[in-house]
Amino acid sequence: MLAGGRWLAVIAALAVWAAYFYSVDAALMKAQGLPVGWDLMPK
Amino acid sequence: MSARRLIALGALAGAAALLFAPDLAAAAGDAVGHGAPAPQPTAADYPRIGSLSGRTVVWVFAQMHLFLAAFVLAVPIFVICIELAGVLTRDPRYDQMAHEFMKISMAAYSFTALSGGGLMLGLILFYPMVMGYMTRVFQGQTMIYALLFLMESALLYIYYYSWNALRYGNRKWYHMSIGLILNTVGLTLMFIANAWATFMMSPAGVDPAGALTGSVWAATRNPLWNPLNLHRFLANIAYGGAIVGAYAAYRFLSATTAEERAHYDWMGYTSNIIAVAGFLPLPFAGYWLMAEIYAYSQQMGITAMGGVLAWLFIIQAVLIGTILLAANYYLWCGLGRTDEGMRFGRWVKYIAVVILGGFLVWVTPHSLILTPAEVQQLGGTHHKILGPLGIMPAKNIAVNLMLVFTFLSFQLFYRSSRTPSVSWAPIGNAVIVALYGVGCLNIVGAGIYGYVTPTVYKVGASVPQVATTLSIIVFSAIIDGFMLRGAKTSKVHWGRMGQRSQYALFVLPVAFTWLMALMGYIRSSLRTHWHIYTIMKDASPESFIPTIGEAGNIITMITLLFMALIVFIFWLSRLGSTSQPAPAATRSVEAEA
Repeated sequence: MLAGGRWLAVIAALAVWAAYFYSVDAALMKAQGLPVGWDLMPK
Repeated sequence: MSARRLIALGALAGAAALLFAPDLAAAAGDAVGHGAPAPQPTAADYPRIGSLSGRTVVWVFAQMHLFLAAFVLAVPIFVICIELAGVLTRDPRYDQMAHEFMKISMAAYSFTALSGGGLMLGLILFYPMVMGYMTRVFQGQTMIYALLFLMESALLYIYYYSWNALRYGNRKWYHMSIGLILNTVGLTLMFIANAWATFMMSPAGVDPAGALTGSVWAATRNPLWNPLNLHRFLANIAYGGAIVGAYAAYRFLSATTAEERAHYDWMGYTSNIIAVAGFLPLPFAGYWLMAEIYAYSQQMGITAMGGVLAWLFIIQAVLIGTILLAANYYLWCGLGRTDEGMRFGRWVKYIAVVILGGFLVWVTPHSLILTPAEVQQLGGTHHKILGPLGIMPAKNIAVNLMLVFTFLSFQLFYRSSRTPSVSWAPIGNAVIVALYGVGCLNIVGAGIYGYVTPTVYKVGASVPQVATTLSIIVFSAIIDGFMLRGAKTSKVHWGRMGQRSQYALFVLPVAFTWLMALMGYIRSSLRTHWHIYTIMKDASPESFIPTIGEAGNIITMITLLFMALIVFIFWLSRLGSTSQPAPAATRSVEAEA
């Protein structure tokens, strides 16, 4: 695989994992009854 | 239906029936009816034997029994897994190792029963009214416990002694079925004992005066029961793995042939994996237990983590840090077992920095014991740099990163003998690197979040941190699993380990034992001056939390005592496999015959 392709994979993976962890964080905070905004800060 | 399936079904049905044993006991309790209030003893109700401290006698027996019981209950759990691995892989080495693990456990079993008997005698002798009340609350359950104990003994002996008789084919499945029932009985025993211990901390099913209002099941299923069940289940596995690892190290160091050294190196490696696998989720189970303690009684929670006992959590951090450092060191040494392993060696220093850094943050106290002059010099009770590192958000970051990087050490070791051959391996590696990167950032971010939000959010943010650590472990293991299918494997030179690595395996059980004794003291002290929290007061002359110094001495003495016992058990196990060479005269008679 070309070096450029590998970096593309890294960037795509970073974006996917960031979205995953953001959604898990938000879901877990809300599940505990903690009102949070899009930035996960207290409402 | 084949005989094998019938056996498996029978074993499962038996196991299910046994799991409902507390329910059966509850039914027995209901038949007797509701009890009278709890007795309120006076100082005269505690028998005295000279100047002997009843509390210390019970403490020593209880702790010794707990160590031994944890070990003998844990070993059959992972032994049956190793036995199954032997059947699935058709590799006889697994079976041999599983059998050897059981041999060590057998040597410890009689001591477990002895220490249990000693504990029971001590309790009846020094705390008759407490025991009378507990028996009245749990009624028939105590009989079920005794019955299960008998079953455990019988099954353990059958399981061990039938090993060679039921070794191959369908008979092996018979043997594993016996192991399954043995484990179910063992776990049920532990769950019942846990119910009694947690009832004393968070009584349920009784009114404020202590009279039974619900069923025995209500008293059993008290608020702290399940958190303790999970915590002890995981801790037992980690502890059992650590002890058999020390045995493997002992045999490795005393091995005289390369073959023997290779076998015990492999055994030590497997034991370390078991210990780490049990240990990685353990802090989360401990966190759940502590959260439930706070939820049940905020005062009890503050006694644990906000009062004098809080200092002991610093010692806990030292011991857990020691365990993680030792386990990682052993894994790093293991990279030398393969010719390709050292290519990962350059990453070790970075992992070491993270684990050591996490260790230092974890052991940082929030408040210091200072003289008035020192407070004046410092300008307050909290050091401006150390203060922020002493609170939970910093410690949560530290512990989660330590666990993630311990898993990374394991992953590197696993990779050291495998080179992926799938075409998408570079993408797979990129995905794993990104997972670690984003995950670690999320752990650090959630910790920083705790500094800028109110306390309830700070506590709440620890849950996403746990989820992140578990996500990293689970997802990277899954990706690795797919990526290493059909991988090119290189030879693992079992036995090619330095002697120093084996001492890391000795460190693990010592640190675990000390840690368990320390946390046992904390858990028991949370009841303060109550036998049964808020129900039955302790009116004995020893109704106070022992000072940290006194507790430290007793905990250390118990640890040394247990270690001496373990050395004796190892020696016994080795003695059992040692044969004296026949004298020349006997050999010639045998040759003639």
